Amino acid sequence: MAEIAVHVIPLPVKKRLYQWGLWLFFLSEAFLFGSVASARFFLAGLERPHVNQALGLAITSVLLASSVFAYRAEEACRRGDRPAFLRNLLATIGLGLAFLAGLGIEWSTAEFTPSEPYGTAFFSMTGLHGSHVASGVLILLLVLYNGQKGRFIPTECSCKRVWPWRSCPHPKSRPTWDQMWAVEASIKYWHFVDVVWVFFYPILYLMSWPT
Amino acid sequence: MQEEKPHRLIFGLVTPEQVTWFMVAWLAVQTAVEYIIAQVLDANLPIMLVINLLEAASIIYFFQHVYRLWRED
Repeated sequence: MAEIAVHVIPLPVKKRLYQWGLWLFFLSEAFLFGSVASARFFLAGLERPHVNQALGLAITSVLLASSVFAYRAEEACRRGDRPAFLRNLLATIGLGLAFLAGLGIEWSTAEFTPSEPYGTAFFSMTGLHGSHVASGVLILLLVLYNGQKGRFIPTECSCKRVWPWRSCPHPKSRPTWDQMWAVEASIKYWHFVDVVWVFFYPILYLMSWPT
Repeated sequence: MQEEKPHRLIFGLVTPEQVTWFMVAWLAVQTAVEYIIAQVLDANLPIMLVINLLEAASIIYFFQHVYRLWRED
């Protein structure tokens, strides 16, 4: 009888591989965003054009707040608190959509066109970043859907009560690393998108150096 | 079931609540400071760069848990 050799990767090695793979993906994305950001200085120099400062500050605050909720969602999932996980994830998605709405307003009210040097940089940078935010929202929606199905925190509390908006007071069943990874990777991606905006916001709205 | 040992982060932060409130305050202050500096100072590029590097580093450290890449489980 033929034997099939099955090579099982030990969990610590698997964890390392997954983590490093994700961070290498972030690094490759950072090069992409970095090249677009450097193009802004090449095209439009170091002067600050007239942009809607209040809107820029508002959408930046919204995205930073979404990262805080994403962190709380991840930590809630890690300790097996399903209502808090879903609640915080929903808040993250909502703030992500609000960011995209703010970006839409910015695009529709911009005082420059894509054919101008600064317009080229602005629409390229915000378009590229916005597409990443949109993909992040889609990924988080998938996580939310699977979370509601009980994929990440599978065990329901034995009290059988429904606790949609607050945590059940009984001991929780924590997810395993395999169950947790999809949540962790998605939320890490969301934070990455946030980190990119931390640099894009001043480059587009705030930075200046008179020549 | 996996039990994770509480990991003491920089500034002695341990629980998610501590990290949450620290980061809310930290990000709010940094965003406000960079906004105000940009409104009052024309030559702000180096200051912005420093602020943004600090802001990004704090997100990568506290939210993305970059230290786990080197941590032995």
